[in-house]
Amino acid sequence: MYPMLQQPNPSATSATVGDRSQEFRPDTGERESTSGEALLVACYAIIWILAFALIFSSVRKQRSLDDRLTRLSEELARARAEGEKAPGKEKSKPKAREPEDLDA
Amino acid sequence: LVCVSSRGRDIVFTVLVVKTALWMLFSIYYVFMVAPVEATMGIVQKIFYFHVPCWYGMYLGAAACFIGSAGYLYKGTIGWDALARGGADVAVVTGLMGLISGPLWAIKAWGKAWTWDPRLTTSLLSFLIYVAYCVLRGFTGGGQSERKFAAALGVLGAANLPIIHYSVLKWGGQHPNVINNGGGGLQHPDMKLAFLFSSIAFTFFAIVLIWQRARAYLVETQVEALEQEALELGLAGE
Repeated sequence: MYPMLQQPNPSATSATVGDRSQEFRPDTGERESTSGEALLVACYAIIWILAFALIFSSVRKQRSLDDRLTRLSEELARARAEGEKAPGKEKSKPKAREPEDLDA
Repeated sequence: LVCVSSRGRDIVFTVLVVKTALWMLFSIYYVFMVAPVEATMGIVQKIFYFHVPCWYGMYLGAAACFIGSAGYLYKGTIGWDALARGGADVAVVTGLMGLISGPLWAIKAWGKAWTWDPRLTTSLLSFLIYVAYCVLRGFTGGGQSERKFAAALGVLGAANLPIIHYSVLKWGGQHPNVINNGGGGLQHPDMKLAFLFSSIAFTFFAIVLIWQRARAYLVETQVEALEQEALELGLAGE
């Protein structure tokens, strides 16, 4: 019968029925000071800042790892080649260990 | 060893990145230019079109973490472990997006940023579980026991996901429930389409990020193995 009374706008009723029967508060206009547009812009800005931060950190991490991997692979290949040329020297070095579970 | 990447995988990944970018741009266009403004809350309701997909992205990240963790516990290979780590990273970032966007919407809709509503509380708990996972992996070594402990956390952490989903149905609370009732809460076809497009965009976004992070962790493990080998060959410090 009174849909507006049955489902009040939550943002418009900060005090409960009990509060309203005990005290009257001046309207400070606080509700109006929170602009929906500003909240929307802030929300989207934060979401995209977080997204791009993750993307850039991932790309940087991947690049540095790729560089390290390439450098290490080259150094190991060179060391293995040198070891094959000098077999006596190779015996003194421990054998290269295979990673335990890199067959994923 | 798994190489840095094969050419085929790179092409698929690039196509996925381009698709993600296009879907994101299209969903932004649709949300702001086509979907109508909501009658009661006004323009702030448009946060919904990215707030819910953010949590959906967290579900995807958490699912990847669960699958990776279970796979690691079963098989013990680092591919599964890398998937779990990648999933946890994405769960944390998209969960953070959801935790920030929700209160910004709530300030306008509820008049306050946070309540200890069942869905909000369980969502926060789930976010903290994946933060704990990332902290555990970041600050402990990469040994097998640490990996197994983290995998157990990844498996058990997923138990909270259905609780988040059904918390509104079981315990009520202030949180809106427009999706759980078959999408019937979205009263305009363009609202439904805007939500669908955003969800598709965030699905691609989460998949790309999980893939990228998992690949990075896989390469990191390779690098550590090679560094160990270099150390044993006496190449340390060169």
